[in-house]
Amino acid sequence: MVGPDEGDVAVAVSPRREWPLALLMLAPSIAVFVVFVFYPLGRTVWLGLYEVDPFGNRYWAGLGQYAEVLSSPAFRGSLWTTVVFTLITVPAGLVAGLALAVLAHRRLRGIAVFRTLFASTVATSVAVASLMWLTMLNPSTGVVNQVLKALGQDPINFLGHPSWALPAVALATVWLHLGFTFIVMSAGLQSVPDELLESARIDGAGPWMRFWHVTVPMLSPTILFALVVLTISAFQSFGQIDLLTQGGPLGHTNVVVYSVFRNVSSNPGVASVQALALFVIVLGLTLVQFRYLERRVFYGS
Amino acid sequence: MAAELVDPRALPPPPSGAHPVRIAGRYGLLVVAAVVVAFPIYVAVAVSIQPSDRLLRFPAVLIPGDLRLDTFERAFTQARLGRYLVNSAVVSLVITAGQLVTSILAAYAFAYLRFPAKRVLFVAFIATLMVPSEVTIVANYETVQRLGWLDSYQGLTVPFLATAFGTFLLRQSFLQVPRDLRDAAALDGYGHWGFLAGVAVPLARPMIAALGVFSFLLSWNQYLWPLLITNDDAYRTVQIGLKALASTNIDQLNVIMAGTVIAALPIFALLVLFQRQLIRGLTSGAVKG
Amino acid sequence: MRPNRPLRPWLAVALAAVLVLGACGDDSGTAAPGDVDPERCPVDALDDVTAPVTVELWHAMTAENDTTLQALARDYNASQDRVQVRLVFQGTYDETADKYLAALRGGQLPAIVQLEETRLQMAIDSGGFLPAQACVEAAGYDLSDHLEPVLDAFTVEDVLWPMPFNTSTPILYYNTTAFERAGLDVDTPPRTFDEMRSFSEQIVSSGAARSGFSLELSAWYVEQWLAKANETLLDNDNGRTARATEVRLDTPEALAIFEFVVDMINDGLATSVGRNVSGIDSLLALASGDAAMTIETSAALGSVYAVLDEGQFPDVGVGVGPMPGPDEGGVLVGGAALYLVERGASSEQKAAAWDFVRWLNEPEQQARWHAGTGYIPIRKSSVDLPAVADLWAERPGFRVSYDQLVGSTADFGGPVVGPYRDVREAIVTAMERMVLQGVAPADALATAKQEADAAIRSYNARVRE
Repeated sequence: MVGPDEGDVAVAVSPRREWPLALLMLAPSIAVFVVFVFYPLGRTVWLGLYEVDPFGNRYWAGLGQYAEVLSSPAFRGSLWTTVVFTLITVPAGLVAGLALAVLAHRRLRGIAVFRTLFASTVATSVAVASLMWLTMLNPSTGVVNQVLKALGQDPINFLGHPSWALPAVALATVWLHLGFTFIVMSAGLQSVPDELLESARIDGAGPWMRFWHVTVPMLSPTILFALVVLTISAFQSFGQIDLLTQGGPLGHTNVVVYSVFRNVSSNPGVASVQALALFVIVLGLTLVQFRYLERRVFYGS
Repeated sequence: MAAELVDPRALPPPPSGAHPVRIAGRYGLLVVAAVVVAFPIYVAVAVSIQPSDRLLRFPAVLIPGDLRLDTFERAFTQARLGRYLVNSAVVSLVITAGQLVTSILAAYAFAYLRFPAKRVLFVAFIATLMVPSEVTIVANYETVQRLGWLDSYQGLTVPFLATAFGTFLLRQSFLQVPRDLRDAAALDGYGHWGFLAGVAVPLARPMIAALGVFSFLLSWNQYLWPLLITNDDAYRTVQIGLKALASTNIDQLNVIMAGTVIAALPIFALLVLFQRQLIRGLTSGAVKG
Repeated sequence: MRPNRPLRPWLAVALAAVLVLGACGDDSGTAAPGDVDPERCPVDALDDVTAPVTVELWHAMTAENDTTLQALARDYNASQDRVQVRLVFQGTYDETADKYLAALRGGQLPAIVQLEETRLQMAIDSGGFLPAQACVEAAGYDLSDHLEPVLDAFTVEDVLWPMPFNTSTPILYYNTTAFERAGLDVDTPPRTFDEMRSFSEQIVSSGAARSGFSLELSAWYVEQWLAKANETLLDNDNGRTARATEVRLDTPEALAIFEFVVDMINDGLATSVGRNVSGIDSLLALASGDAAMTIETSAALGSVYAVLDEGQFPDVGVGVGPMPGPDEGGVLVGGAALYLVERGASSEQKAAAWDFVRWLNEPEQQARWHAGTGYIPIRKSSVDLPAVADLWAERPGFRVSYDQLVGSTADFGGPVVGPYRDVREAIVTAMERMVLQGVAPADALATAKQEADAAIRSYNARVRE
């Protein structure tokens, strides 16, 4: 990110009198951030120190509550689930998005139709996508199981089976984000200079060589960006869990955010601690993003 | 950057002398990929327009017959889908407009004004990006509750009226206004507001439009927060309404899918109408504006 | 009778009398009407209203149950001009309870909340509700026409807390077409675990369906099967003679139930639909031929017939029987009830809420509710009304649940415990471990007992004086 001072250019008014105007212009954003970002962040830390009964009465619990929640098998389980979920959805999403982008990166008759289709899942919200997959994966009536039965296989209760539930939710998630990944990868591909690929071709590089040694390196900033966005969004996934599995079976899809949600009304203190743990993780990931963006902008300028 | 999704001119032509078999092979792969990607949408549409007694018949369910559209009507009458859509539109438009105003103002201040603690404030803005809204829901729920904003448009919109992401994006755009334009404006005696309205905003219009479409998309798709703070049908957004529709009509799969299709349509329209802006919004973090 | 400890300051009034009674060692039959102050329910407050009072009801009804409740509310609104009821769907029973608890801490509360029968203790402890008992006494309302097991289910320390409304029991649904194909008598459904097994064997071997049973992993069924075996789930008579302190999952009866479930599934005689997240998977399995029988709430009857009447599944004929179990003992009251909100409610709202729930409890409304949904008519006189008599003549399946409840030999009410949701969660998780992960039934039960007991201890300690 460019430092804030770079853009200091006085337009007409003398600098000494600029601060009231700056304050006026920044005030709306600052007000929102103070009330709905910074204050609640501090408040969450404080809430984590209290035990709250289901009826909202607070009792001091101290730091012990943090230790208790963070070391509980339930929390570790949901953290692990979140990590596994991320490790499935992010690489699968990147590969699928890149493959589609490469496949559709040719001036062919009718290519616009394919590109629109590939981008189309960007128009499905998490609720829309989840209900579509819920319908398709239903053990009795879903199309997927009807295909299995037509093939003489036993139906599978995808969303109710401990081995299948997380992959099934992950599949729906990859699909949900596919439009985004495709669009980002496509835009990246279009910024790879054709001349570079052409000269590699003249040098005798085959399609795979050109892909690995020209396209992928040129695309690396885009891939990295998509990686970070998908990772953070994987850590924040909620709607598909709420609609598809409600955390089950056996907590196999009980990601951290879902567990926070479940505790918001019944156990706000515990929810606060879990939310803060999520914060620390996403913070780490976001710092990676910023370091990367900083370098990008530096080299780009 | 290239913001075209479907303009084939932006794509490289097939290599000269490419073998027809290879082109056919690529078409083959494209068709397979398209079928796989579009399959869930196809199933949803197919289910939504057929009577229930066909839904258990395979493969008949995939070849729609005995078409009917009363499922869509029932999605509206049985689940107040109309109200949910209006709510989503109001909430998304308010958030989009609010984010544009606050981030244009803040971006301008960071780009053109000198004031104390600028660096600190800038870092504070950056910091907000690192706090996902899921982290603060416990406390924000409390705040909104105390303000009496549960089940209200204020509760659904006010917490999202500022965006650090948008501020950065627009600040970058403002900084690209050529120096001689700024000097000329200064010579012409433009004040800050005049320069903002007359020069900076018009020049940054493509990025503002991209931010607008992006904000709309994000607010339309919000799920956790509206689920948490709405108890009243009158304020449920379409995403939450869909959940209610799906649970109250468990025995009417085609009505559920009809509601799902309806909920997706506005964003499909957005994708078609504002494709360029949408793509720029989605990719603006990746490729410098 | 030993009283529960008074838990909340604002409950002191309600429980003071109980404490006194408890100290005297009285039994429940002699409680004076002074247990609850009738003044808390200003039943006459509607007399002076000039404009209609609007009250909200938060509910969790879906499918035909939702449709029927909407129709009832519309008719109530049209029948008088003092009260307008607004129904607001809040999701599942759990989600509705969460919304209530959240609103209790500072949000807008409705006037009436529909809470599952399992929420009784939590509802009492929450301190937000007006005991219906106060209104019963203030209005001189006669409860003698109500079914006793239903009143008992919602009465703690001689105080009726919610007004009963939607009462159900689990029943057996079976596909008569599949029974015919399997050569089984369509009029003789299985009554016991042994018969469930032998019927299922015949269904599978004849190819009439992929499996005999589709089975939701449900704690409710475990509780019911325990009742069939004349066992309570909780100590202190299911938490009714004193606050429950532990679950009784270490009994041979509990083990037998768990073993039955897992053996049926492992032997390919039953299909697990897991937690039945959609709420309808166990029944859909009958329609799709995955199973020929299932156990579901009687409250699905209305929706099942509505779907079949639409002609959705021409190959399915529905048969209904009492819930088969390990023994012929009793069943417990399931479903939900309507709680009147006291916190933050005006006199007019309280009176209006009472007026509506009272109306819903009238025999005519209960008859209509029963016919539309399959919930049990909770008034004795309802069953004499033509609406019910004709229905029962035409579709005898509708009376199964009523007969089952009225004929129940269980001499205890359903479980009452604060963290009931956690207890149920522990039981379902144990079933999942057993069915999905192959954990031995006894080990799964032992873990469930540990988890449930810990939740009870923690709740009882947290909800302190």
